[in-house]
Amino acid sequence: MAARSRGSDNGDAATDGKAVAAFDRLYRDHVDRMYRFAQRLCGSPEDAKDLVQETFLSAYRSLKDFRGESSVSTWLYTIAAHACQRMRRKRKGEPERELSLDALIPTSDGEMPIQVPGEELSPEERLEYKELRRSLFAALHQLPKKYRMVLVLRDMEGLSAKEVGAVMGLTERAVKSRLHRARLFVRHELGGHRATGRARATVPVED
Amino acid sequence: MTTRRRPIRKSHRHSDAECRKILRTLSEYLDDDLPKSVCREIRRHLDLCPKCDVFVHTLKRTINLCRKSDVARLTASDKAKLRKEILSAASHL
Repeated sequence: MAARSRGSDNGDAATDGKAVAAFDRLYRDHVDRMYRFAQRLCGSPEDAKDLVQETFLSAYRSLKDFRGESSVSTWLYTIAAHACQRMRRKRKGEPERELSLDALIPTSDGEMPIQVPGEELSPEERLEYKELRRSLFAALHQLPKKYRMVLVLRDMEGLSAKEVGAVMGLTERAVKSRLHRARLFVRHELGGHRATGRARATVPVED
Repeated sequence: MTTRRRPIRKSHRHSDAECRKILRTLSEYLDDDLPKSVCREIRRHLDLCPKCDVFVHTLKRTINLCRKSDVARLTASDKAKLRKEILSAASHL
């Protein structure tokens, strides 16, 4: 693809200058948020940087078309969510799985108490908390992506169910259903990482 | 007038199906997305059911843990490098 000739006349240079200035504002105000989101979705810092790059590149291309119908951050989350799907398709990752609600709800008296500390932490609990955060990160990346994205957007990025629906193209009902399964899965993994022989909570998607 | 609350002795004297019905709605309960009458029913159940009570507390703490979780930030040099790469890629579109 031939590179577009830039700065061939003063009009183009001025337009490009304005576009770069608008981009710089967007980048400065939102890069931290988008990197945090990308890390939570991708897991590795390198993949997160790739996602941030894809997101801001797409944003740069469509900045002039942004009409302010949603907040800038919701618009960027939407771009990032689509970029994440594209990158996943390219890498041909593992097939998406469904979470079985029944497998995540205990039926017997053998329910294991989860060791999630409360608000005030003793020094011992602080150590436990650090370990727990590692377990949370591991549990998050065991989640199938469509559930992970809902959990990250709602419980980590703090979007409302309606906003998550707008980002992912889902109804609020679907967001809430996925969110509940994702939370139960993470809870199960946090309580169960010390256990043996825990129930399998994911089942393949039936065609 | 003060009313003394009778201590409630928790025991599992209801069906598992009732618990499962409650457990399916707990996220909406914790997010305050349910009608008041349903919340009252859930609270009544939790007062009587030790298993569901533990479950709701651990789910709440799981959600709090997610809300408080943090990740590493980009360094200033990484930010500058990424910006340069994005603008360079944009100029070749």
